[in-house]
Amino acid sequence: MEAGLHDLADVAVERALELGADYADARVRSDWGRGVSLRNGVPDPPTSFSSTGVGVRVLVGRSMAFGSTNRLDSASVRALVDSLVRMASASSRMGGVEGLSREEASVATWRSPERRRPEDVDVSDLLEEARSMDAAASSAGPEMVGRWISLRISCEEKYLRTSDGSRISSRVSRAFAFALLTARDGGRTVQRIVELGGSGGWELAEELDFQGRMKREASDVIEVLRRAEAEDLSGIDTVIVGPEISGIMAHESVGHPFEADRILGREAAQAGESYLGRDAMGSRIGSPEAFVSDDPTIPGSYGYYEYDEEGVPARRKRLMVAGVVNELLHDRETARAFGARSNGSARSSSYSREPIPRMSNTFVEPGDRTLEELMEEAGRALLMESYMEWNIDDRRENQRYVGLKAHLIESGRPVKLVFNPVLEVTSSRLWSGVVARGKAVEFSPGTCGKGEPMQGVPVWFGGPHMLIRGVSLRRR
Amino acid sequence: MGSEGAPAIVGRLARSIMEGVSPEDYVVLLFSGEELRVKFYNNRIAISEREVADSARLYAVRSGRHALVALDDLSERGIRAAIGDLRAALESSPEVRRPPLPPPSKYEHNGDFDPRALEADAPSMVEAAISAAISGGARRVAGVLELGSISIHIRTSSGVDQEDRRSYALLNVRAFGAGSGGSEASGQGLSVSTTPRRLDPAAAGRSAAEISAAASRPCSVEPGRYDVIFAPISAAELVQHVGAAASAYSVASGFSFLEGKIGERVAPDWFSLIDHGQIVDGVGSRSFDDEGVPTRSTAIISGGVLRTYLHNTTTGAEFGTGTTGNAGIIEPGPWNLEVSPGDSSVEEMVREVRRGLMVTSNWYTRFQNYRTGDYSTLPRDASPFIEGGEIRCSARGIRISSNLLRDLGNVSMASRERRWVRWWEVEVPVLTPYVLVRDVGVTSAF
Repeated sequence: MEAGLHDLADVAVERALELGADYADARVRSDWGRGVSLRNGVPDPPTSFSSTGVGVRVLVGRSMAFGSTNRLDSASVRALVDSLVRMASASSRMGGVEGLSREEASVATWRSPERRRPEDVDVSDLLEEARSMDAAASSAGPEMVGRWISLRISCEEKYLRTSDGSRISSRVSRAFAFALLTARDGGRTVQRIVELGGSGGWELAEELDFQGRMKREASDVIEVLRRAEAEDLSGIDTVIVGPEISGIMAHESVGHPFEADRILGREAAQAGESYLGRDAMGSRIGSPEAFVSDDPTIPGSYGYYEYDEEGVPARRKRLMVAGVVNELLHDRETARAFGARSNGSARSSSYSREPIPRMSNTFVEPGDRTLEELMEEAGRALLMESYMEWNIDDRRENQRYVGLKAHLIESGRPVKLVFNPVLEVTSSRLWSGVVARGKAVEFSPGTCGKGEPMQGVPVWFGGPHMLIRGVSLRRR
Repeated sequence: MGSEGAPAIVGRLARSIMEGVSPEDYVVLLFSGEELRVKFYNNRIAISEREVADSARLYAVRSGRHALVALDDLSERGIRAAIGDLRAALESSPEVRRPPLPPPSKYEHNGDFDPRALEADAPSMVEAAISAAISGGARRVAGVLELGSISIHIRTSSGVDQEDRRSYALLNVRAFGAGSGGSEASGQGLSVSTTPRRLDPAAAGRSAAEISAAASRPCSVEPGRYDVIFAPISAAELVQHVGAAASAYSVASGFSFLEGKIGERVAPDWFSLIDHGQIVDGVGSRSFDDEGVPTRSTAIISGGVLRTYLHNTTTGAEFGTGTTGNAGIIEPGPWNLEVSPGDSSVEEMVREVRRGLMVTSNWYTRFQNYRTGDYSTLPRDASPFIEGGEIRCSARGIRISSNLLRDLGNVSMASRERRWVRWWEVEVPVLTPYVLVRDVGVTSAF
């Protein structure tokens, strides 16, 4: 990012203070990236995107206003700030913001490690990798009739200035792969979405083994297509979920309901609210084996950051400890409302979107078992490693995961692949039923949606294998 | 747009492409817009927002190689960088056969544009919605008001040079009231238009409160198969997935349960699903698509039969049908979807249901298999349980677990009354009646 652009954030904050704002922050942000996609080996036109703009937030009394522009001159930014202060004042009779928590100002520069910068990767590099992934998927079997593969590499550069003294410059690069695999044989089709990615440069394609993962995923799909059987699961009340599923459970059923703005009702008309109330801290919602954290500081993670969108240092948050609510996800607005301190959870997806509390990398913490030990302990159970369909209600209680690669377990070993098993469970039953956890945590990338307009932010979710009792299973 | 007008910027972008990559074909699309938003919850305004944005898409073809660039920094520096990206992409992308860009045609604007859309008194409109909901019994109210104006310019190497101006006004209200036994009930109301003059905040607030009141007596229902009346907000959420599946790109990529169904009966003979490039109060309206083709009305389903997918020139050539004016340069998609009305009142539809449900809103639809259409989705707010043609209580904690292709075939009634739906969970505007679907799977985790 050109140094001159930083001045625009300073101009915005100073103008807001001149006009009487109690607080202001501004970020100048540039996003750049390029991508390719293949439909059954045939490339679509390659794409690239670039975006640079200024986002400004002002607090006047109890009224907050946020605005953005990509007209990158001082006069346009000042005019934007003038309009924001007017808007905040105009809604003062209905302003609902108690204020922002008081935090230490930070002055810092941070970058995510990257060896091969996105700017140095061209379309042919991406296409070569995509073709290799396509070939890996095709080689799984003649039934692999559909392959849609997309690769994207990007970088995000930002300068944040707050009126209470924070000045943060940052750069984070990311690589991401998405594939939809379709296998068909006669009347049966099986589909699998594969997502791979993290923060870093193009070296991630090798480090995360995009081709190898594609080959393994495609083989799993073919195996499910050929061998999985519909099974009556009504007598089984025990499940071992793999890292992909313990991870999505941590994200959907702990991460989201622990977002403090949802608890306050700020997302009520969009992504919904939470099963937690304002007095939830310290309450028990899970077994003594239930531990979930959110940590933006994991090196190489897709949700990596060192300072949040309000200049607060990022740190690990242990959301649920031994089944007890230990910490919520706060930005400065919700922290003030709860009488707490921000824990650096404010994120925004673009210069044109307001910062709100978000997850980063949310995971079930590791335990002390091997998978073999968990299977021994489980008795007759289902081992569900991956899923396709999932969803959860807007208070984050009623959730469902429909398995893709899933085995019936008997006498401590897998005996049969099961077709489309359904785990439908409430959050309270799920976390109360956690009996044991594996040692090894694995992560999956995703794009988490929230906010109005929708803000998709990169996250990892993960966990170890996790043994859960007292659940109901059935076939789809 | 600052001091430089849109035609001048389009000209600058076109010259930059010509000089920078010497293409045989190109498209310049310029979007200049402004949006005001007011987000509210607990009867107070959370934040007021203003977004001013200019952005462009540049598409170029040279020696059989194609590339697309999106940018929103329209300074000399930003354009120079974007042209560099375009050049680099053209140099390293493979040759792929795509049809030439279409020539200019006759373009018409349906006149549905309000140049004063941004001048409405947004805080007062929000206040009116909240007051109406509270008068209707709500204890707390949340939502968002969005007012926007956008101009779209296109210039292509084939001679298209057009401008389109559109406006929109969207209000989403969710009301929360008291339910029995200390529970909380909720309901949603919408108002959707191309102008704030036709927005009705009080009606949206009242509707949200009425639905919330209908949820005040919660009950549990057994998992099983039920006849389900999907009210417009919910019907629209499912119909948007039919619209997405009708994109020829979705079909070719494995994301569609409509693959191989052209010419087949997929719904009852009175049912139609039409995509409208322009329609009054359709906030997705455009007079031309991203390739400069005039938009039109396209019957995706008519007489219950799947008639066509939605195409740009590339997918139109692949499928041997020609474009339907729905580009996306890479991916075609719907503009505004319209479901045909039925001839029943909502009350008549309820009386037709022996054992069933009405779903007033839903979210989080996910597919187990896009090719087959197996999906599930979560009803939210009131879900009236109907027995013997009468509403008994509001089903709590349920999930629809079904197949969208089968649901289409099991549509049995629709209301005369229709509503426009566009909100956080429904991105493509849909005009739809209440729709009764027989034999829908319902499950629960409770």
